[in-house]
Amino acid sequence: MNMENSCQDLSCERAASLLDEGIKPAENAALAAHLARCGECRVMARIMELSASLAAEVPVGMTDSVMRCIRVERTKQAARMRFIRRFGAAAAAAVLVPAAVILAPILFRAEDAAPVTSAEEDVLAADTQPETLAAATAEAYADTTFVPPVLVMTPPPAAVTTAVSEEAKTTTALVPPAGSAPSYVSQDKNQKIPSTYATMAVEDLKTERPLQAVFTALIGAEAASSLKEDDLAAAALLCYEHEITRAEFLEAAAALEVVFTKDQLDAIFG
Amino acid sequence: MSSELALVERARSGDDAAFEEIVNRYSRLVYNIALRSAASPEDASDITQETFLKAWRSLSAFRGDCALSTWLCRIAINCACDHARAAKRHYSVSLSAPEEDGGGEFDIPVTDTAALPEEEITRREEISAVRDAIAALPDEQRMIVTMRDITGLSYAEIADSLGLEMGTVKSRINRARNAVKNFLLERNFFT
Repeated sequence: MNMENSCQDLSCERAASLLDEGIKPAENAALAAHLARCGECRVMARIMELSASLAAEVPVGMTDSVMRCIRVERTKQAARMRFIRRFGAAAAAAVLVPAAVILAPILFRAEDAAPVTSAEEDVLAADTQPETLAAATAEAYADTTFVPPVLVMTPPPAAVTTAVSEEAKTTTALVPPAGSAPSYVSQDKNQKIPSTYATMAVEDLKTERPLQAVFTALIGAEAASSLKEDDLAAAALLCYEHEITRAEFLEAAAALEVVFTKDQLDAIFG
Repeated sequence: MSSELALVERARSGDDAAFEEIVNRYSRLVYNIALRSAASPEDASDITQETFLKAWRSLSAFRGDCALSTWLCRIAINCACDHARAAKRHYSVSLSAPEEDGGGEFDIPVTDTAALPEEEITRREEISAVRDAIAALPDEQRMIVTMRDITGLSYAEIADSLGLEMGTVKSRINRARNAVKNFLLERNFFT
């Protein structure tokens, strides 16, 4: 700021301070008088005024868009819980490796198909910072006698995988021939998901074939024509986690000659 | 309990209307911060959405130790950095002149300038020049001058958001403003 001007009533520092506070020359006679005399301060005042005018308006519909994202997120959180209950710890560990340490207690309890507690939902809802999660977990279980085991599950724990594999041996009729592509056959809609398909889905995920995992999970669960909300939610979660686009999904569906309704696709892709 | 904390508390307990109120209050702030780091207005919209989504997920972490605006700014800056890293560019050219296809975020509606008063034409040129000057600033100065002079955050909020001392914030803003001024004077504006 030029200190060698002829301003008598206000210093450049004081003028700068007033401008910084958002005072307009029209609101302050001394400032106006200073700016009338001091070219450098006048330039700075003009720059600050123009800078303020650079503030952009938020695009129309931003709030609606954010709230829509949140509703989808809430659905996904619920889907995540359903997915864990449905496919068991191994699948969940493969999908949720980043949060595996914190989610471990939930994964192990999931096999009991116990109702989701609000405490667990709180833990899931807070999947952002590890510190926060750790704190949330501690808080979530503060009033219980349950001590969550601390595990690092990358890859999924051998014990769990083995358990699932052992169970798979009892349903060998549903296992596709070794080395061939999974057999995407329809199952009786009342039939419980064969563990084989859960195992296959996990294998698909572990070998970075998430798209196949989606179909394994979906078709392993139900006939495409009678998929339930849970199945679609699980597919939505997988597609979301692995960034599978609607176009990729449809391409794979066409290749497998599986037809999905528009409502089913909307349920998966929003 | 402050009204802000009460609002967060309501949102935390599942009241969507409360979170919607938070979005309405702070989306302009978040969006303008995002614009300074984004390659396009579309990216800035994405960053804004991500910011609020992360904020919603982390509501339980907000204890009212700082202003909600500060907390959201921190999340927005982190989201913007993540976005920039993902796009393999850091604090890109969002403030640069509009692209040929009109993709700049501060596009002024195309009109026949001959029909505008001379004063308005000059103002538009000056706005464009200030935008270019801010775009030319180093990253740290650009973000800080954006927070202060464009979004109107207080020094305390900026210091808190960026984890800087108040004195550092003030000196960076002064340096940034002087750099903008010199940029413009060198191009014969305001002479």
